[in-house]
Amino acid sequence: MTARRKATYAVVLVALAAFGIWAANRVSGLSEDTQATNPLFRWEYLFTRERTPGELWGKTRQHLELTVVPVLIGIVLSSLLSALILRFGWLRSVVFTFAGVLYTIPSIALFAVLVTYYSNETAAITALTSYTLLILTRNFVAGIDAVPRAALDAADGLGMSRFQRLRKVEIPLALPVILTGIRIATVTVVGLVGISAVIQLGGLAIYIFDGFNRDYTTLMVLGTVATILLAVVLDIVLRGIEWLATPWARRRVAP
Amino acid sequence: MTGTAIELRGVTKSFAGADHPAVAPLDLTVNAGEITVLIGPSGCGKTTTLRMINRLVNPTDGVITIDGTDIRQRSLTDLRRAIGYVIQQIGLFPHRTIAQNIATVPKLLGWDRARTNTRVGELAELVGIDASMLKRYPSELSGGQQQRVGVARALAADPPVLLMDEPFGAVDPIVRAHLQDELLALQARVHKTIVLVTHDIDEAILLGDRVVVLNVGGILEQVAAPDDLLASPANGFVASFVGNERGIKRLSLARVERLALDAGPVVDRLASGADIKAAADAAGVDWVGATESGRLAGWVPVEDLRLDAAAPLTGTELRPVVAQLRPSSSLRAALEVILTARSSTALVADEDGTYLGSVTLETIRSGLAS
Repeated sequence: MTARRKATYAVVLVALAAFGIWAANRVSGLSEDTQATNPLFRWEYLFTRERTPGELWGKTRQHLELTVVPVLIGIVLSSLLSALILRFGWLRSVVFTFAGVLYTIPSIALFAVLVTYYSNETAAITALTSYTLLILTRNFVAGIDAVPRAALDAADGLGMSRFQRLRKVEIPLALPVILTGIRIATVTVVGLVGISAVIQLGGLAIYIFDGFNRDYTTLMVLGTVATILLAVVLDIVLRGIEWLATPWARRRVAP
Repeated sequence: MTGTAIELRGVTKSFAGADHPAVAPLDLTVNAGEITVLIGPSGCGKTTTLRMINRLVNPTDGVITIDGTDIRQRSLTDLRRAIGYVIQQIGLFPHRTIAQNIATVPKLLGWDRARTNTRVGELAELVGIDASMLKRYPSELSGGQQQRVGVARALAADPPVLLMDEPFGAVDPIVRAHLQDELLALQARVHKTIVLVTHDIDEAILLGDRVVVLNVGGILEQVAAPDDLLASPANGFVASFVGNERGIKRLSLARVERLALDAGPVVDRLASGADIKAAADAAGVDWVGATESGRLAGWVPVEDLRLDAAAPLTGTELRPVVAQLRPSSSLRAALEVILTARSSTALVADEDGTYLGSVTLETIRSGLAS
């Protein structure tokens, strides 16, 4: 296990422990009456309430949609932007500054502005897409930049056309960084989708806002845990794709 | 397929913003089937010159022809696919297996799978890469193995011309010596027209059929065979570039076969006592070598012989000749033998043992002077 992975696990464990302590404190601080009517998590809500599975699935689907669609659009746009940057070097700072500004706009404000012009879904997808651009474009360009000069020189010298070089050498070698960018963008968007609850979307985060409004902790916990699970599952799936797509990066036997 | 001649006529390269051209008008003929080495200090444009041949750098002026055809008449990709290219950093594609790396150009040329696979197998054998390595990735190979793969990849489509830019610069000295020997052995089989860039004069002398010495700004100082370069540098720059130990370097380069051998203190085993004495005296040594039907059989000290007998050597037990050289021995090896032998004379015999003559310090000295 690498030191970095150890550190990651440590941070996750500390966060979970802190959450546990906070939750336990909160519960023990309440009157027995409240503890009975509004416990930290009411399991019946999940298992005996008939409408719950349907609602949960519907919100999960919405959450997935609001994550996957912006990331896919982001990939297409970022590919175009990266291609332009690689072709016209001076565009680099222009694109990154623009994407950086987009990234800095508070999401809640962006939703509010966009929804006055577009439908809720369009507004949410547009806003969420804008947040992927910086992450994706930066990783795409960084990945291509990091391709060893010698491999490029060899590709040219052996007679690859510019497009063959991009397709056979640059993109495959940039793939680990490109896929990492897609993974980070996806996980980021899973979190940001929640903010779109302000425009009656929000996917699983609707539970959190509902629970907050109704002071019903079960919903808050359900929304939080489900969102985290979704992020973790997507992270694992994308890591798996990275692993499968780069067999050469993990084979290092000392000669 | 054997190599093809390359001609550079008035080739110039100026980079934007530079005061002086990187390569001054350069005329150079690269002979077919030879290794031509470009050497010079940094800034002499040797790599730029090399890269102009496959148009990785476009000349500002002048014409380069390969086999009489202007290189600008072919498409960039066609030209490069017909020229092998090996670089110092090797530049294997890390995401492709060794076999896929070697198959790069055949694949670009659209060869079918069977032909490509056969060719990959041939090349692996040619450069000494074990078949079990073909499925590995470059990161799993040592530097020396990677550079062998780099050479195999360059040779994959059997190009008549091979360009090598400091091919052994990145490996340690022991591996480099191996790879240099392998390149010479390989060239003896494939006879490519090789243009090789190096900054190492010893490498240039070892590998080159001809050495091209360039000065800063791509000025041609001398084009010569290595031995001529060492024996008669054209000017002070070349002399200082070649270094102080020119004589010693020539010893490594030249072989015994180029010397005018002495007859030596060697006689037929049936020779008379008078002939034996005359031979030993003429060579100024106190021993004599004996041949049997032309083959060197051994030696014996003159004082052990009864010179008044009819054929003194017939009844004598001969000692094996230790101070013995082959025509292919280097003069450096000859010198070593002479310095450590009983007397300052070494005997030369060919592979079959046929006696050819003797070598002394004086033979070597006059051989190098000629």
